[in-house]
Amino acid sequence: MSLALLLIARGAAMAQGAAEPALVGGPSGCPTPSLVWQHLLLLVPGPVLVERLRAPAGAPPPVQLFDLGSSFRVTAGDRVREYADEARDCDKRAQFAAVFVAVATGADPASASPPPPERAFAGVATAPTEVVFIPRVRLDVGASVTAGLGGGETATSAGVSARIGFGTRRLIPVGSLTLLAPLTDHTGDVAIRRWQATADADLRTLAHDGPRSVVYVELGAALEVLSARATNLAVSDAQFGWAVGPRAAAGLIVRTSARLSPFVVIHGIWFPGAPELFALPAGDLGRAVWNLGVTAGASWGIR
Amino acid sequence: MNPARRVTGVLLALVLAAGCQDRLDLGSNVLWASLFEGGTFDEWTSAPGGSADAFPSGNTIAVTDADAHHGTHAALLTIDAGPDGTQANAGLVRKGGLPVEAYYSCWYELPSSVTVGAFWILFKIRLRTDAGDASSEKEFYDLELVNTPDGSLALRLYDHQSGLDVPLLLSPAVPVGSWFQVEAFYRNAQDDTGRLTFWLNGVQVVDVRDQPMAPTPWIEWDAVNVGENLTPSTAVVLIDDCAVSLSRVGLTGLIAE
Repeated sequence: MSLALLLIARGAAMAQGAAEPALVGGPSGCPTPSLVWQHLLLLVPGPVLVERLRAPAGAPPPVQLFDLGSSFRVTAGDRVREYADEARDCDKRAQFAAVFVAVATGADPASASPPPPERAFAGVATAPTEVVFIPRVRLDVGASVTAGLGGGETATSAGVSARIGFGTRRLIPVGSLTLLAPLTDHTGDVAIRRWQATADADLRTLAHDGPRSVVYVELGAALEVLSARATNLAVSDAQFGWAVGPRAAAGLIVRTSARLSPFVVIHGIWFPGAPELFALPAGDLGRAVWNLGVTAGASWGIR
Repeated sequence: MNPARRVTGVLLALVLAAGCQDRLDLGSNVLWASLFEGGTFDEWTSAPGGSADAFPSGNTIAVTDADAHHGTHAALLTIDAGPDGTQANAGLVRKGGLPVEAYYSCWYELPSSVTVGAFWILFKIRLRTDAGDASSEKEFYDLELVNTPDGSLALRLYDHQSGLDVPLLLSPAVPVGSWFQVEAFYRNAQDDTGRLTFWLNGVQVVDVRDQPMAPTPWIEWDAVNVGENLTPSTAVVLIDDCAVSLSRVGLTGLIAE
């Protein structure tokens, strides 16, 4: 029966074949755009699809297919789904992709003729289970700019940051390491060569989980390690210090169809016991009690 | 225990255990300092070319714990400079071994005012025409105290080489009965980059610049109580917290930990 329906659909597809390349595309070989298009025509009349999926001239097809080996991904406009299918059943993959596209475009599968809609959806019960891609591990790597504030003059540094989060629960543990490039700045008459690294451990929760973006907040604690050396004093030694304090952050991840997504996160850390920098005769050169910064880069979701 | 609670507990413990280091001591531009807290003049006399002397007899130099700028001790320099034309001297001296460019600072207190008949000097810069020949030492700049028409004291910078007073930028009154700081920047260059600047209590009062200073890089710096023909003849100067520094000490600077 299914084969018969498909043959009927192929006849319809031939009749409307001109629309397929413009509406369904992508590099996938399993399923092929052509096969998905054929299944799609079983669900939704061709003119309805053409109307719903119409794209500007010269634009890529609005439906894109990607074969990821043990899974495949379907994008329809701004909606994305990824399905696991270890067996690589291309025909079933095409069925699922077609159902997703039909629903995503808001087309009424019931208007298709033939087959009756229950035939098309009957496959759902026996097909691979749909898996919405939620990464179990998220690795964020980016460039950071931080400013040390409080007591003395502001010291702004740039560096790199790596952050990793584990799990899919409402609260997940995250940890990061930020290395800032050596910087020479002046506090009063004293030129200070600084090097700084910060490690933190936090809990992250989602504040917003939308189709286009994810907003999260983090609360935790940070450890700062600081090396400072005066470069214009008659007598000077490199000094090392450290401080611990609470940290808060808010981040934004922009969803994309790829594994890598851009992100930006701002943070604030309070180091109540930050070491005071001291030199003679200047005396107290201040202490960076507040560490404020922003990090932007790429977030990699790992299953 | 719930993993989230466990993590929260660890984070809280970290914050509560927020140990720290109070201070990172980056170093110092203070090349030498004298606080007199040891009750001696060792800080001066143990330095190369350093001394603490009073002459002729009748003039004295001692460490006192009766008053101090910081701490408990200061130097007490007492001279008897009568009208007999004899110069009375009590001084703390650093001869040679000083950088070509540095800041020289001391805190002074004048317990009472004095009427200056001839001169009353607090701060001296001396030179050698031959750096290796002690017999070639000469007077160079003297920072002195003079009386103003209203009877208060003011500064005067006398240039022995030209025999003239150096015009002051400002002439603030020198306080009596309270500590005040005299700080000088001296760049003993033999070309046009030479400079001598004085601050009184942090206010710049004179700036000799863009001219050669001494003929050789040799420097003598003295914090003194030197006078002649003073009324009353007994003049007391307290000196404390002296320093030679590569950066300005100013009123709030620290010269020792």
